[in-house]
Amino acid sequence: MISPGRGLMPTNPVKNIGQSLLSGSGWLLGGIVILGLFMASFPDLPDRADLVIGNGTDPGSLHPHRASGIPEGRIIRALHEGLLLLDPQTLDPWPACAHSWQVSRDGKTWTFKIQKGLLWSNGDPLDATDFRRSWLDLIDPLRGAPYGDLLDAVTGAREWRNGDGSREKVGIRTPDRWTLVVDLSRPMPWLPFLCTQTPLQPVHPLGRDGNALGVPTNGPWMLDRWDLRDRIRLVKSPTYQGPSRVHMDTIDFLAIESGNTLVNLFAHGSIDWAVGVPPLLMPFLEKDPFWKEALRTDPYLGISFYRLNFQKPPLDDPTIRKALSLTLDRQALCKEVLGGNLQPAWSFVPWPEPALAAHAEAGNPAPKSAFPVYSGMAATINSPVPTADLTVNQWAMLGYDPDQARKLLQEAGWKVPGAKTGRPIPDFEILHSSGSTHALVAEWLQSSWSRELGIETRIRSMEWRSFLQVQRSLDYDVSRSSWIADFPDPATFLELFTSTATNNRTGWSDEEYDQMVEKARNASNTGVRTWYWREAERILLDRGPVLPLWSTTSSNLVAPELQGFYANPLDQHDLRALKWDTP
Amino acid sequence: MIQLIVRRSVASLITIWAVFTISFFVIRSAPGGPFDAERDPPEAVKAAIEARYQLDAPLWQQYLNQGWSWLTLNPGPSLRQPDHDVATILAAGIPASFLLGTLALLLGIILGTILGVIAAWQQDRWPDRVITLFASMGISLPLYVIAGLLILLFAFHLPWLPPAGWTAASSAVLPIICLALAPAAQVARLLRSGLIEASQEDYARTARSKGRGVVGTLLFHCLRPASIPVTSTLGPTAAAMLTGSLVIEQIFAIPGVGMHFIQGAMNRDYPLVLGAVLLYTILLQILTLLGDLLMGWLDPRARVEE
Repeated sequence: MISPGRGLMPTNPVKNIGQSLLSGSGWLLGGIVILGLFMASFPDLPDRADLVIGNGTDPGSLHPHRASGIPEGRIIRALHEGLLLLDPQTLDPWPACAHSWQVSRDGKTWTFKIQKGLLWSNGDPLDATDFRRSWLDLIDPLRGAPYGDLLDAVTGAREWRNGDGSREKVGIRTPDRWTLVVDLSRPMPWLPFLCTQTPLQPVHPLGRDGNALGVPTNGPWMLDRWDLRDRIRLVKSPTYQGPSRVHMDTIDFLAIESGNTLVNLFAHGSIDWAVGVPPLLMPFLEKDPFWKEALRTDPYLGISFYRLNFQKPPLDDPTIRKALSLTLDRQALCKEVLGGNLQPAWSFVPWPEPALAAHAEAGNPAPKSAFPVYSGMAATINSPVPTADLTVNQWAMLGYDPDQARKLLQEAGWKVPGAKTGRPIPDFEILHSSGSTHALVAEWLQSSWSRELGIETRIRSMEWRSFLQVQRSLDYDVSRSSWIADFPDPATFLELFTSTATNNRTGWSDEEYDQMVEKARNASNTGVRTWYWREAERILLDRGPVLPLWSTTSSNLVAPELQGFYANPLDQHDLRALKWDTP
Repeated sequence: MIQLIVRRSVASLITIWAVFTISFFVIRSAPGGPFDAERDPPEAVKAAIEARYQLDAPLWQQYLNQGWSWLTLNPGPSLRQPDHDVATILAAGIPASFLLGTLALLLGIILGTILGVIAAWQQDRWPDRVITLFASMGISLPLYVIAGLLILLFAFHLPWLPPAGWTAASSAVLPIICLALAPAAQVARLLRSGLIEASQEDYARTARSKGRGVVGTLLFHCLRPASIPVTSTLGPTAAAMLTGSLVIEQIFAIPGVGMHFIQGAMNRDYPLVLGAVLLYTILLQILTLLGDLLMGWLDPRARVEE
C-alpha cells in the first residue's frame, strides 16, 4: 500500500537527507582521510628534551655570520665553541678552543694558543686556520656579514671593507697550526669578549657558502632537527673535545612569539626557561609567590631612549632640548607607568652606579660580589665602567626639574604656561614603532610636555620597518629608540653618535665629541681611556640628541630547580652551565 | 560541467597572475627593506646582501625573475630564514593549518547546521534566542578572548588539555574549537533565516498539510534550498581557514602557514609573502569552484544559469 502523499514528495527522503546535509558523507570522508594523514605525523613528534627553552621567534639563520638576533645567538653558541667562553657568573673570559692568550703591552697584538685535538662534529680536525678563515670570511665585504664591522680594529679590515685592501692584508695570522695572532690598528680591550660571541665562532669550510644546514659544528651539541616555526632540537655531540662538561643530553628551543603563550607554557610545565616576559604582565607576576620564585629580572646592558632630530625646529634649539629633558619624571615613568623592575636612566651608558644601587635597594637579588659586568669588564679593560662613579648631580640636565625648564625657556624668549609674553613653541611629532609599551611611553611624554611646558605634540605609530626607514631618513621630530650592547664597553654606546656613524640618525655632529671618541678609541692606558669616554658621554648628554629614559632589564622565567642560571647584564646564560637540581 | 570547469580554470589563472603582479608591486612599494635593523649594517654590506638576492636589479627584472621562479616551482630561499627555501617553509606549515582548518570547518558546519535547524524549529522561543546570541558572539568576539577563556578553563582550571604547543593530538583540540566558532555561528545564522524563509514556501506548507511534522519538513524539504546561501560562503571561508589564522597560531604556538601572511610582510620577506599570497589565491580559486559546483548540485536553477 502506498502511504498517502508519498508520491508528492519532491525526492526520496533518504537521498534528500544525504544531499541536504551539504553532501555530509563526502565532506566527512574527505575530512577523515585528511585527518588520518595528518594524525600520522603526530607519532613523529619528539619526546620531551632534558631542557626545553621557550626561545622567542623562529631563528633567521643558524650560520654565525648571518645570524643577527638574540634567539639565534643562544642556539649558535651551543652548536659552536669559540676561542673563549664566558664565566656564567662573572662573564670573565674562560679558555675554550684557546687554552691561553696574551696581549702585547700596547694592547694591539693578541696571541691565542689553540688547544690540540679539537674536532668538528664530522670528525675533521680543527685548528687555528679554521679561525683565521672564519674571521676573514666575517670581514669579507662581498659576503655581507652584518656584524663584520666588529673586527674593524683589526689591521687592514676596515680598508678591505671600504674597498681599498684585500684579504691577504688583514692582520690575522697563523704562525703555526696552533697559534692565532691578531694585529690591531688600535687597542680593542673587549676582543676576548668578542671571541665568545656568535659572529666569531668558527665555521666549517662546508659552511662558507652561507648555508648552516648539514654543516659540521664544533660545540658540545649538534643540530638534530629543525621543525620550522616549532622547535629546534640539539643533541650532545660525540666528537666534542672542549673543556666543558655539559649536563643536558637534549635541548629543545621552541619558537614561540607570544609572550603570553610563553607564560602559559611555563605555568603548565611544558618549558623550563621562558625567554622574555611581557612587560605589562610583570606587576602581576611579581605579586604571586609561584611566579616570584621563577621570575628573574636583572640589569641588562641596554638603554631605552628617544632620539631628537637636530634638523627639525624647535629641536635644533639647545634650550628646548634641555627643557624637554628636565620635564621628564623618569622615576614616575618607571614605577607608575611601566611597572616592573626598571630603573630610570640618568646617563646614556646604562646601569651607572646610582641605578644599580637603587636596583639593589628595591630588594632585588644582589649580584654576586662585584656586579658581574664590572667584573667582566675588569677582565678586559681592568677598570669599572666609566659611568660607575658618576652621580646624578653631575648630569643636572637629566634630573627632573620642571620649574628650571620653564625658567630656561622664558629666558630664551619662549612662551611657557602662565607667561604672557614669548614666542609660542612650535608643536612637533612623537614617533614610535608599534607596540603597547611604546605607545604608553609616547602618551606619557605627550602628557608630560603638555602639562609642564604647554607644548602640543602629535603621536605617530609606525610598523617597525617603515619606522626604521623614517628614522634613517631623518623624517621625524623625536623618535623612540633603544640600544643593546654588542660588547661590554662604553664604546658600543658612545660610538653611535659620532658624525660618521651610520646609526647616528639624529643629524647631530659635534667635532669635540668626535675627537673625544677618537681619543678614547686609541688610548691604550685604561685610566686615560676611561676619562675620554666619560668626557664624551658628558658632551653627548649636555649638547646631544638623546633623551635617555631607562636602563633596560632582562626578564626570564626559570624553573627554580634549574641550576647554573646567573644574573648577568648581557642576559647570556651558557647552556653548558645549566643542570637540574636532582637529589 | 566540464566546460564550466575549463572556463573557470582559465579565469583562475588570469586572477592568480593579477594577484601575483599586484602583490609584488604593493609589497615592493612598502617602505624599508628585508635587511633593515636597529643596528644598520654598513652600506657596502647591505649592497652585498642585496646583490646576493638580486634585489639590486631593476624592479621589472626582479618581477620577471620572481614570476619565473614561481612558474618553475623554485622560489628560492626566504630572505629572513636563508637556510630554508620558501617552498619548504610554506610546505612545513601546511599540514598543521590544513588539519586545523579542515576539522574546524567540519565542526563549524555540523554545529552550525544543528543550531540553525533548532533555531528555525524553535523560532522566537528561548532556544532560538540563545542560539542567536551565541551566533552574534561567535561572530563578534575576538579570537584571543575566546582562546584565553578556553585556555583558562581547559588547561588550568580543568587541566585536561595543553595550553599551547604542537606535541600531540590533544594540542589541536582547543584551537579547533576556537576556529570552529565563527563558521558555526555564520552557518547557524544563515541557515536559520534560510529555513524560516523556506518553511513558508508552498512545498513546505504542502508537506505540513500532508502530515509531515515541523522538524521533518525542515530537514527533508527546507534544508536543501536553505543551504544555498551557506554554500556560497563556504569557498572563501574554507580558503581562509585552511591557510591558518595568525591569532590562533600565535596563541597556541602552532607551526602553520597563517603567520607567514603577516610576518612575511612585516619582515619584507618578499618571496615568502608572494608564496603565501599565491597559496591563498590558488586555494580560494579551487574552493570557490568547488563551492559553485556544489551549489549547482544543490540548486538546479544555478545549474541552468551556468
